[in-house]
Amino acid sequence: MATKYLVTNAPYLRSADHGRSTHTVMRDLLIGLSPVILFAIFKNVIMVFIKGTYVSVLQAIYPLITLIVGPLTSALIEMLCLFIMKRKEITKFSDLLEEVKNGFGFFPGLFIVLISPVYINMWVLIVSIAVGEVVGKMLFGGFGQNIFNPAIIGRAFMAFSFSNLIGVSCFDPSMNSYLNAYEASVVDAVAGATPLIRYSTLTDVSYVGAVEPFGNLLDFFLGTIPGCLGETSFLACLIGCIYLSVRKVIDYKVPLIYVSVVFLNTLVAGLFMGQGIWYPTFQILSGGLMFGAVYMATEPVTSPKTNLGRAMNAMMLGVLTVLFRLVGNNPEGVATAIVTMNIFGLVINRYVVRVRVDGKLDKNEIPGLVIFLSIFVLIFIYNIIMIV
Amino acid sequence: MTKKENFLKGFIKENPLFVLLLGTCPALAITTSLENAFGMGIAFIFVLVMSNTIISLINSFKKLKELIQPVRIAVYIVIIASLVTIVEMIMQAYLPDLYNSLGVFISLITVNCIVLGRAEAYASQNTVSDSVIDGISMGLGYTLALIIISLIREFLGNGTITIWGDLQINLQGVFEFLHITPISFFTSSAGAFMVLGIVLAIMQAIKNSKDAKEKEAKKQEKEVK
Repeated sequence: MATKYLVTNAPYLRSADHGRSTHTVMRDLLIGLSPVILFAIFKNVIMVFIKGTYVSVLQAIYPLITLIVGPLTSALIEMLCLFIMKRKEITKFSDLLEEVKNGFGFFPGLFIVLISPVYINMWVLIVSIAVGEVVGKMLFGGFGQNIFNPAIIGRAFMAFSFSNLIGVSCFDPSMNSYLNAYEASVVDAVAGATPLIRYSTLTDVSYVGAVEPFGNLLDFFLGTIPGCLGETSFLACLIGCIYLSVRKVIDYKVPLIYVSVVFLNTLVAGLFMGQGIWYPTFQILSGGLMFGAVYMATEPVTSPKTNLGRAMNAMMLGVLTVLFRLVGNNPEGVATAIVTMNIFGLVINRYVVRVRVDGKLDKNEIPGLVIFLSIFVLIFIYNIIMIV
Repeated sequence: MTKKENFLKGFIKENPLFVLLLGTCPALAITTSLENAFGMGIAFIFVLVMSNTIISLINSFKKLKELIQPVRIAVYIVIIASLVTIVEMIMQAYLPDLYNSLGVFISLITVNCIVLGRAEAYASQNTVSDSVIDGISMGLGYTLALIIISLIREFLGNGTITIWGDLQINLQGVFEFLHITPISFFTSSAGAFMVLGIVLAIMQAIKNSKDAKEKEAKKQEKEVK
């Protein structure tokens, strides 16, 4: 039975989708992203104008410029790659444009902008987008054939190669790029750039040390804390998640399982440390967890295709995020976890297909599930031991 | 195969690094500067030519060939290891800086897949003169590959190109002109993997397009006939 399963390129549409195409999916994705983008503009441009703490107008509207430049760069590079590689019969410019539109060409750039610091150097951004687009997507053969999420490849490249530039504002080298002009004048310089970077430098964990410099947990939920351009607001991601789930662009179970595994794991660790409920809440509200869970872990091309596979993927993402973020002392835990699980996407798909074809677990499929669960439990327990 | 074809095959058609994918470990580790690539290449050509010569000589005697047949890999390794030791000692005596920067990778030429692979696959079955040409060709091809990778990596990672010792071309002006800094990622081993992968992809793309053209030309010839 399993040999008759024919795999073509992702993403897949079901017959129940009634005439939807990648165009409608793209439109839905843009609408789903709009709360995040609008909140980013509100927080980093409009608030800065209202408070009037900006040095120059350029600085105030810089996030807007990056939001325009990012997608354009990504689309241009994709066009260039398509033109050089000549994968399809492309004769006119409109063909090229159509191909980029079909291939979600604008999105890697947009995502990289949203998960980058507010005042990132423009050339750093452009080089990262180019690397993400070329290495993460076009070298694999373009849309539908990439193994890794191109946006996260670009972001990881940025984090690893420009570690000395990424935290520095491009307007004033003495300022932090994660803080917008308004926050820079308010947040105590000692507090550290973002909640997670500050948390990673704390010697003993306490509500006063981790949360209070940035306000209270409601601020974390709304997103009025320093951080990357688009990923600070849990609420905006939640609205996007609900819209996309209703439109069936993403599977709501993935973010749900992902976030709840992180919550559970840090809850147990926090209880052992004698921390209250604030500790797991702080962990799921800070950083790019919700953004990654909603917009990146559910990416149609690189994530598993079936319910069981998605659940396995999301569970592993949860424990790996805690592992990289808290044990590995790496604030980019979400991105690293998603890239790591992308590697295993094919394995999970292959395994799940066997189970799915038969409709029930038989003897041959149990070892795979046992191995998966034991790895999951091992990392879960290891996390708790190491954090405590 | 003529002698000329035998000599030219190592550069592109059967390039040890880009086509046969042998010897990638030192290629990823030492290509941080052009000087290293040169040094490694020279040491490598010496070892490869000498080992090919000796091994094809041994195999040209029928009785000796039969005698060592069961333990030939061990014999080859002993021969290669002694050659590598010679190179290592000479380099340590006369080029101490290069010796220090190449480090353990000189000794590791002993177990490099190319040297042993050529001994087993080519030198043991061909005449001495052919084996010498094969060694030179493969060595030069490997050096060329190392030079290409190290040029890209050193330029993007450091903004310089070190030809030999103090003789260094400083291209940081290019980066300053563009108001950017060199990307240190390319000096790390992950950058080496990426550069190697991209060069491989480009080589493969060129090869594919050539093949397609040849096929079309053959089709047209058939139609004409």
